[in-house]
Amino acid sequence: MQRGKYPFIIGFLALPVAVYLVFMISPFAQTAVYSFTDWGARTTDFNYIGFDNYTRLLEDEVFRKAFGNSMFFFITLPVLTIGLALFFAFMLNVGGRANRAGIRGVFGSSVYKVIFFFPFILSIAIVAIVWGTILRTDSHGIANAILMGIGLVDEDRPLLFLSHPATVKWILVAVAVWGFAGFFMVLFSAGMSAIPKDIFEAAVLDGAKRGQQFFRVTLPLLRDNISVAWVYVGILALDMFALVVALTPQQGGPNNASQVMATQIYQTAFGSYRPGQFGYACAMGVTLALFTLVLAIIQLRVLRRDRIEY
Amino acid sequence: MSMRRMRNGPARPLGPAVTRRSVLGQAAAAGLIIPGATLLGACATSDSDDDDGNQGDRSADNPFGFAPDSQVDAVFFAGGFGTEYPEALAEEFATKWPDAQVGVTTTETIATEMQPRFAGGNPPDFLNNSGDDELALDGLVTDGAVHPLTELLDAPSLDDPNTTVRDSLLAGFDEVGSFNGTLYALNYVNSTYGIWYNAGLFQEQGWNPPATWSEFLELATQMKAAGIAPFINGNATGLWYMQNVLMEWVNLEGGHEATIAIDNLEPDAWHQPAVVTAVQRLQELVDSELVYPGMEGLTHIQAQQAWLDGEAGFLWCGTWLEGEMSDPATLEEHEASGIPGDFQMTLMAPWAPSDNPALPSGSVRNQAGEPFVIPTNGANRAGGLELLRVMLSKGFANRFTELTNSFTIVKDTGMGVDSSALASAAEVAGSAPDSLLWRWETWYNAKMYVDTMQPQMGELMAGRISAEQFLDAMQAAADEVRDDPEIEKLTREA
Repeated sequence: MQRGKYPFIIGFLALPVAVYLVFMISPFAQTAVYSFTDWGARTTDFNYIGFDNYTRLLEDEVFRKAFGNSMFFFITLPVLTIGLALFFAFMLNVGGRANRAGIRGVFGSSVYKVIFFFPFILSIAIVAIVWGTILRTDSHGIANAILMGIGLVDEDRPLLFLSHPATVKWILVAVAVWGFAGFFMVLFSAGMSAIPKDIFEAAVLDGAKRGQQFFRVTLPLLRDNISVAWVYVGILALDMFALVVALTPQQGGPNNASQVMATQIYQTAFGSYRPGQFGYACAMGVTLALFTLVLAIIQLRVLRRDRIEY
Repeated sequence: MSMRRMRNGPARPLGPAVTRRSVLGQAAAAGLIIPGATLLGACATSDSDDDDGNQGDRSADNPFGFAPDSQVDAVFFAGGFGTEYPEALAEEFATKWPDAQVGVTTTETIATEMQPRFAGGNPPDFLNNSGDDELALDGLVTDGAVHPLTELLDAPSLDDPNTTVRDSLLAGFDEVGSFNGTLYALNYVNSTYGIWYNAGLFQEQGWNPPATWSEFLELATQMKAAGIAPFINGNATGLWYMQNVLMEWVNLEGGHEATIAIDNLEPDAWHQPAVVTAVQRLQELVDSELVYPGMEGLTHIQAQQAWLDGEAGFLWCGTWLEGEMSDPATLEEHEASGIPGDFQMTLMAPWAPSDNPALPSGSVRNQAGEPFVIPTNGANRAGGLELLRVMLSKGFANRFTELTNSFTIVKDTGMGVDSSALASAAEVAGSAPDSLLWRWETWYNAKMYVDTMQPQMGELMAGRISAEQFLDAMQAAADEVRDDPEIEKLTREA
């Protein structure tokens, strides 16, 4: 077996690696090549135009707006999602009252776990319909109807939620946090259950309150999990394609207020006729990919610490 | 202790550990990982065949040389006209060519499904290029992806071999879908655009359809007193409808010179008095609260349903309105309840934005819509052309009107429709003193409509920008198009 080890392993790996190369790496490489052309993707002819697409990108105002919005999501989404997920995971695993023996979560935590995780498994179509009905901008929308009933909103001036440039991004953040926090709560719960309960018991015995338990015991021990989760949410935030297309008017919000790089790429490639549109969209795609890669590398370097053994 | 070699080997391998890195390194050394350059050989742009595989003999009965036993791949848009008529067309085709097979596919997302096929060199033989997600026609024409329809128009019509297809169609059918005098997209449905209202409600309240701006304002006050919003439009998905409202007003107020100046990208065309008046009227609608509150975020179906439920008085739409609001699939998708039994859907010509417009009252826009194209590289192009010729027969045109409640461009068809919507539309279209028309929106769609008018119209109708800002933005876009050498410029005289 010693001598035949490598051929044996390579034999098994060949097929998956081939699939990966053909379906993941090859399209990336092709995109990079097409980003230097003026292809329109309607026929098979095109010309090589060098870096023209990239210089055009630098001057594109809408892409700059999309870039700014992507950065907005990149900064707010991880903070809010992971913060909320950590809070829920803590309360549901460790945050119970210290009046009985043992470490457990708050009352009804098994029910809460299901409720918090549920939004993550909903398909984007259902999410669009549900939030579309709640946030409908006339008096038939659930949110507007309730607020008008209470008297907080004037009947002639219903709240515009997703149709107003000032509020659309925050509502998208809220919907994204609602959808993703549950998943990361489960992730952190798993991380917390890997921590021996003795450490928590020791802290409780020493008189630590909930806040001190969280910041001084739980958080340092979960650092690895949190850094990985941060990268994942960061990548999700740089994408945001499904939510923007499903929820916002004209798939980019009123007057490009919620346009993100992913939707900009899609609309350039497959939208109204512009000369050389597909090549230009490929240039956008390459930019987004490089950017995501650089950010992920930076995050992993910054958040890296020594492994904690326990 | 003998120094025999242990059979199972030491606990840790003496050589380097087997890790992912080492395996991949070995594999690379063994040449199993092919450099990316050769993979690019299997790229998207492989050469496509350019032959007419299913070419048979041409004859008077078979003007395109369609092989009678071949397959025709037809793709239709599943939209306001429903999905029954494609099946009916396949049946009609089978009565003439019983050995042929017509594969009918319907989809709501034409570009999403068809763009990869065009890019890969195997498009369908017959394509109904329509809907929100349609392929941009100017792009298809510029890249030579669609076949010119001149041979179709010159062919004998199905009903009468002595008449060409061209002569069997209503005048002006080729105004849309033509580039430099050649027709590339045949627009099958003849739609009339205008303002819709409930004739029953108007009779009850003693209201009359307005013709001038002051008449409209008077009526609007009465409507508001009755608790009905005078105007509604679903601005989340229906901003194109507002573009039509605006351009109809510009055309009425400034005559054909105004719209021709805009189409020809003349300097300062967007600051002509007629255009300024029209945009100011839109601003007035918003400022005087004559619009349905909250319509900024409604889809066009939701807005149409609110209008059907009596919450708004006037709505802009085309003759597809009745069919669209009766289609069960559309209603289910948007959770709309459909047309109430006592609603009398009636079309009227748009009122003017002032009291003395240039064009006479009653002028409307008649537009051929619902484009059909024949891709150049379809496997059975002759089959696609023959299918379109069958579609243009009187027999099928009548069947189409029966199924979809819409008129076609085929002469002498569509009589005797039983609906107040269509009857009023036929009357409005028949008695219209003049025809409204503009072209810039299709000629320069990307830069002027999608990039500029659509978002700016949303902002204007939400009251976030003023009329001046809107006009400046449109003028800037027109100037940009004029100065861009890569965009092909078109002009018209009339």
